[in-house]
Amino acid sequence: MTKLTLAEFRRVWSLPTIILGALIVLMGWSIAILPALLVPETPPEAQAAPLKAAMIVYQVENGLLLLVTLFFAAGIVGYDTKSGWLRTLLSRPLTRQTYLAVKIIVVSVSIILVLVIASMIPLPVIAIWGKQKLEFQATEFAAVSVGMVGQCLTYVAICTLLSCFLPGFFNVLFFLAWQIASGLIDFVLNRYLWDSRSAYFLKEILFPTRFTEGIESVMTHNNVVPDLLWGVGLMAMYFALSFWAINGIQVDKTSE
Amino acid sequence: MTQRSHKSTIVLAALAVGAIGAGLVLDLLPASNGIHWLTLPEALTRAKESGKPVFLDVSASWCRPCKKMDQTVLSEDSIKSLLESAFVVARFNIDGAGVTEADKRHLDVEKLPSFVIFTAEGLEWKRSTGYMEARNFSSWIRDSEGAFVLSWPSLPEALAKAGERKLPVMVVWVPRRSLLEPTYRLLAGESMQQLLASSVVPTVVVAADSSQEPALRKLRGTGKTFGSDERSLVFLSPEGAELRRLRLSGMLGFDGERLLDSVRAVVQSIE
Repeated sequence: MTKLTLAEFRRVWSLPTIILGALIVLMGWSIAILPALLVPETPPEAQAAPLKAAMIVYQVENGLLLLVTLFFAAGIVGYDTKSGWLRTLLSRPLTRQTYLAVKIIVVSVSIILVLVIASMIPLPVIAIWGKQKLEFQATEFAAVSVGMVGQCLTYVAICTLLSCFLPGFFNVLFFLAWQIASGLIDFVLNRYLWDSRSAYFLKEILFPTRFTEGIESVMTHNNVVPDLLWGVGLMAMYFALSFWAINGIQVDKTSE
Repeated sequence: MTQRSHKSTIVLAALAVGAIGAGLVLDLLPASNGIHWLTLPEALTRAKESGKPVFLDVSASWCRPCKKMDQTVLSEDSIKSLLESAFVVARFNIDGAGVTEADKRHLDVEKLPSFVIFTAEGLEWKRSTGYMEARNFSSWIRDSEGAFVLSWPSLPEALAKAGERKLPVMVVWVPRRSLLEPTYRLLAGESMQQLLASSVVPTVVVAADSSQEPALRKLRGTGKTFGSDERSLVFLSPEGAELRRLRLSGMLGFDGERLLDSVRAVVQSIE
């Protein structure tokens, strides 16, 4: 499994990926650094509230999460199936589950790496050159880190599931449509089904965002345990569906 | 060669069921904030005795913004003491036992959480929806715009008072609760308040409020149609006969000064 993981890393991190990944990181640095440097200087007596490191990390990672997830995770199984790579791998003593686990690990680590570089490297820059004081709170920082990793893994699970059924580009389209639908569903629920418990919970299951809501719970000193449980549960559910779906892929007729 | 196994699926599915189940149980557990909540009927009865307005919290056991309000705003000492000293506090749980669609329609709630303040007479003063931070909630509670309505009687009591004082009743007729606050703002000016205090006995009727139906039926018995689809100021004799009506349409619906002139003209014509 280790050899396969390393091989998969080398496959994923090709030169185009490195270049595009670098561009995404630069985008993240702009989101983090520019507001901190461009904000007008406040006089000392104004006692402006300090910038929170956790909020900066959250804003960058939340802003880039969808883009980075689509970039790395869309079609992760579909492409391998179409190109015949999956067929080649499965001709060796390798289970489908091991293959899928390796894909998920590589994609998740890649996404987290890009997000961490994009969000955390600007912090010392802001601390030194920013016009406002930068405040670091360990609890909030940990909450943001755990929450964003959890949300990232949930999106990876959903993309993995979709890619077991849909070919490459349609994954991207479907995932984007799913995100748009999430906003529309919110509107419909608030407007027409505001008192429906089952609609509310169905929305939670189909459009999971409890990890990011958990971050908010920590920031507002609320109980985060229900958010964590829901987040872990829904992530496990989508991964379970992915591991079930991988069993149904026909490799013998799909390669060219 | 195909190597299939369902072990991973089963383990992950079990984790999913366990975690979601536990999360669901925790979500449905009631949040505690130490406030002693009455039901709305109990609160309205107590409000009449004490003269205090009623603060109503409309929520649901599964509503997370409601829980957030409970945990972060309503449990704050300053907010709790403000609510308990200045109001009779009530809670309406929309998925409580025996709650019907008619109950929800009566309250005209469209979002959770909703907060409604009623006068001691049971007239709605103002409402707000959605989660509010403690500072905004406190400002909203303390905002006294439209507080003159706190002293207005209900329709039957207004008719009785009008008989005693030999004044007409001015019914502020509103088709929907959401139109109450803008209407109060129109009537909030000092000159308007002085005119109303000396010339009429004011009251409010919300068309959607079924609790006012008995009083309205009596008035309809006088032979005049009462309601309309737009806000109106309806002037009645103490016997309930309609004397004049001002529809708050066009500029009258927005311009307090113009409305003041119109009300003054109507009052003078009735005298």
